[in-house]
Amino acid sequence: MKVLIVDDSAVMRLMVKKIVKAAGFDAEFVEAEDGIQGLEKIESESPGLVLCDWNMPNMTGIELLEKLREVGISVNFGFVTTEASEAMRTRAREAGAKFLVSKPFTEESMRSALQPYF
Amino acid sequence: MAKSVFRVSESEAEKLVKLARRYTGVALDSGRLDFIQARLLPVLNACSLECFADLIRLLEVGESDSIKNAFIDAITTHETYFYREPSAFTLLKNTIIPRYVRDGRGPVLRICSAACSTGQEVYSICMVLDELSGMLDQVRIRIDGYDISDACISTARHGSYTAYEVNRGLSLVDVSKYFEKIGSRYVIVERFRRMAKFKTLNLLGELGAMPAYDIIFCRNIMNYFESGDRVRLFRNLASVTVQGGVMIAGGAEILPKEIKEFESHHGDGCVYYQRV
Ligand SMILES: C[S@@+](CC[C@H](N)C(=O)[O-])C[C@H]1O[C@@H](n2cnc3c(N)ncnc32)[C@H](O)[C@@H]1O
Repeated sequence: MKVLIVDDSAVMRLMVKKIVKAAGFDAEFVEAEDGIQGLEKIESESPGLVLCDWNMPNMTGIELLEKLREVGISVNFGFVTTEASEAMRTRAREAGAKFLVSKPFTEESMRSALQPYF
Repeated sequence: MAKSVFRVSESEAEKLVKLARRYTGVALDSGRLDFIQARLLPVLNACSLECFADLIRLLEVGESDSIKNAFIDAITTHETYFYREPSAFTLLKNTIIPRYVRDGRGPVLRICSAACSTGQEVYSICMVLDELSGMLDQVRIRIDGYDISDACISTARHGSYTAYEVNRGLSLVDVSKYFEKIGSRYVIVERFRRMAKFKTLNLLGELGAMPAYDIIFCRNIMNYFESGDRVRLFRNLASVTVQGGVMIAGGAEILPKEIKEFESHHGDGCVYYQRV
């Protein structure tokens, strides 16, 4: 399945890919460095799942999700972030995110969050 | 190339996706032919069917329980293990049960594992309660596990696991304390089997006959469903949770925004929900 990773840090993208692979999922990865690139990739690549960071330059992860809702694009969307506050969870919920994996994202927590899509 | 009866066609996949949704709520992606085929080929074999078209015909008529059950079992994902996401069990042990006792609720503590798969979640709860037995000596405990898969419920009832299954999540001490080794299997102690009841049930259907629960575990099921069914799942569960009762979802899972029946709280490093 095609998985889009949206994160401004190349190290984080690599780490997310590693964890997804280690969890045993058969994924084909597409990458984007911020929300705007993410939006483009969602349109051009139609991923089955989007794993998105929260804080990014140009367009943040939550702004990306809110944009998708606004224009009526429906895609399985989850956040993978280092920090997660109550306010972030509430906003993610309002915007229709399916999950929010936060630090420490072990292989186990990632595996549980991603399993339904594989 | 001749069309193989063991390959699922696009139109068959679409029908199977609809049937999966109708029978379980599980939303499969009709574009993933390989996935659908891999899950359902064993059903063709087990039920001695010659092609996917036959399976579809029989499921649409819906008369054969054995075929229906084999189909449901094949399209649902049953991954589970003891003490999965340990923070949920720490929360139960350190916060939820002590509060239940302090508030003088009772005399019966009712706990539900919604989508219990093969029972590891239920027996992990039993282990936590066992550790708290001093605190709970005045309380009668009832734990119910529900799952749509007949085969899972049967395994859960027997409480019989392989070495791999018990080693996943449990310490050697726990294994020796809570299991009896019978042949190559590890069977959960009799007192836990008596404490726990299991029932095959579609959580998206009518839950009328269920008692009201003080604590509900509903983990790693909601994201197999589409939005409408996710809402239905939690409305159903809210209808069988006592006021002030607790619902524990998967650590990363986010409840649909339509669900106002549960309020979110934090404790022991995890999020849980309280019935308003
Ligand atoms: C991934 S397992 C989760 C088991 C356990 N709760 C855990 O977290 O380890 C999901 C379970 O949901 C069950 N399930 C799927 N749809 C269901 C439905 N409509 N009603 C009840 N159970 C369902 C499946 O049979 C499967 O055993």
